[in-house]
Amino acid sequence: MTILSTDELDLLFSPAFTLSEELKVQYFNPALSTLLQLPPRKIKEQKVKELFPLDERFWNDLKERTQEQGSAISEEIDFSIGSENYTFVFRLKKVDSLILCVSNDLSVEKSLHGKYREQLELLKKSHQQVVQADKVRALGELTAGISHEINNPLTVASGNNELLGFALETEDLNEQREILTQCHGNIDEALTRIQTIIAGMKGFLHQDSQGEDKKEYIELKSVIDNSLKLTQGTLDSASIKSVVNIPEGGHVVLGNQTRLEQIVINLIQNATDSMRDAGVLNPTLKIDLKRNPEKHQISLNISDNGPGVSTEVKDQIFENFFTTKEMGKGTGLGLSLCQKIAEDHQGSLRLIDKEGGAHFELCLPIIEVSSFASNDEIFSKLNDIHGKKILVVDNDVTILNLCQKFMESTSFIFIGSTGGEEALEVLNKYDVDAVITDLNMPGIDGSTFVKHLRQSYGPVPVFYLSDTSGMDQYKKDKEALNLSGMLVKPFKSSELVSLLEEAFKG
Amino acid sequence: MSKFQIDLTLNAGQAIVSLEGVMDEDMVLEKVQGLNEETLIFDFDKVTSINSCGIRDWITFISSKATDSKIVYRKCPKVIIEQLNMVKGFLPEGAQIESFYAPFFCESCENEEMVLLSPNHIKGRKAPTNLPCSQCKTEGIEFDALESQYFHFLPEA
Repeated sequence: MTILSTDELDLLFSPAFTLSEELKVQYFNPALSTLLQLPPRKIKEQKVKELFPLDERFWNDLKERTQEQGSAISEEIDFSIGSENYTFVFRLKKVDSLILCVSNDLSVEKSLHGKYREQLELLKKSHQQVVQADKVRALGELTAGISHEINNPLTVASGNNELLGFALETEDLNEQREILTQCHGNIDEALTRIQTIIAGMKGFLHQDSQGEDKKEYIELKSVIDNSLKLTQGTLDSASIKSVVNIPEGGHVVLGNQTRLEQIVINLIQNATDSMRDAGVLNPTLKIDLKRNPEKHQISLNISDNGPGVSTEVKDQIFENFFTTKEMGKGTGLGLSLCQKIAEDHQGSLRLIDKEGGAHFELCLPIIEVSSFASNDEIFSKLNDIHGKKILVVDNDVTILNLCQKFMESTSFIFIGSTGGEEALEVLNKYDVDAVITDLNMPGIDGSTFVKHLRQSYGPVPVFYLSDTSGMDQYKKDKEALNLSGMLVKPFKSSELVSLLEEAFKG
Repeated sequence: MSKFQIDLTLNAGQAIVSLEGVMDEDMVLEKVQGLNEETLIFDFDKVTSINSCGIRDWITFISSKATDSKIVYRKCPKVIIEQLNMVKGFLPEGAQIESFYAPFFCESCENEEMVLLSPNHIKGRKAPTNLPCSQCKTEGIEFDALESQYFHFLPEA
């Protein structure tokens, strides 16, 4: 293959030129003249450093490397010509006694990328504001119900306070001890209930300093419970019966508690409005959780026996600003935001076809899959000790969250699982570099889990996680199951990290 | 202040669109999207620069206009001529260049100037040779670019 002729180099859209030994321009194509905005007489035989406003060392370094290795590529370099800013990469090649230089103009790409990132940040902020506004709106709509909820314990506290007053008027307080204790207990319970309701409201409205992106391991049951606490008053005032069905065992997802509550509250409110407006007799709201092991998902289902969603609108209900409510009664953002929140959790929200009423299904990935999805961008850096994937198996979400927090500031990638069976299923599909497992778990215990793991997974380092009562089991299994160590609860971040680092050193 | 502005003048059956500033990804052509006059004259005199995004948006815009209107380009600066020569579609089929700037240099007083020419001044892609310098009045200022490349958008004969 012959070197390109100058006629052919003239056809290039990017600047190309040749340099002498003294780095003076010998040949150049029209694109160079266009870039530099100089006529040919001001380019030919000029030193390249005079033409490009770059440090002389840049060209000298490139020339040296070209002469040593035959060719050289520069790093991305920024410079200005007139009022225009440019980013270029230059490639040099030795051709006989000359150096051929071709270039790649990255200016537009870099500028667009910068603008894209800026716009994305602005969009994120706007979105957060919309999410917050929707929460405020939702809470506003719940005000009547919440007032009702607070009013009940207030009435109890007030009534018991009056009884206290009567009891305190008697001469012998010892005789009234039982009533006094009872009243005190009732008042305490009532005030705690009010505090819980207000804390729930504050928690719902609170905007985390990390924004709404902070995710941790949460039990979906707590999402349902908290959402019902906030909406109970509304449900009661509409005489709606709520039926909650949560099967045994954990239903843990990696998510943002408040945002998931936002979905559930939105769906409960929609169901309430629908049944109340239609005047449904015996209105009932059903909430249940189902595991779908084949799809590695948990589904949270909310259904009612109202009029349902009509076929005319069901394709539009998740669109922004679509609402079936009267002007001023709905922003039309609720369901579209809920769907966005579901997608942010690598899940989905959809309307299920059903006779008699509406049924919404929120699907979320089981935590092992969530962990992988959220760490996706880190997976490309897994070539050295940094970036090892650590699977932690424990049915206690506080332990999972603690381990996740401890590993956040390290290069270890945390993946959580709430049980041995689920962990084995995921290990069949994904690779990990170490396993830390609790000993006492519902379903299969830690020891049985590791036995199964050793049969099908190979020599990955495995650690037990338990309090001191687990030491005997550890000693028994150490040789037989080739255990690498034990982490004793309670443990510090440094203990967890040094245990793992030690395992990967060998 | 926007880096790009449009000034629009409508006469009977004719629109004169004066473009000013930088034609890039931030360029907004909304003001002229609805134009459907018989003749559309685009005056590029005050255009200072153009990048690939501006070129792309311009081609999309002008190709939609070229089907229904007669297109005329007026006072094209060097940056626009360079695009005319490089990018297919920048000057749509059937469009006309009314005038353009060409760079000249006076060897006597070393004055550099842009001279406004029309296609009639160029024969066989050769620049006129008898133009006087605007500063020292010496005749025969030299064309200060490569003729075959600069006048590529004009017919050879």
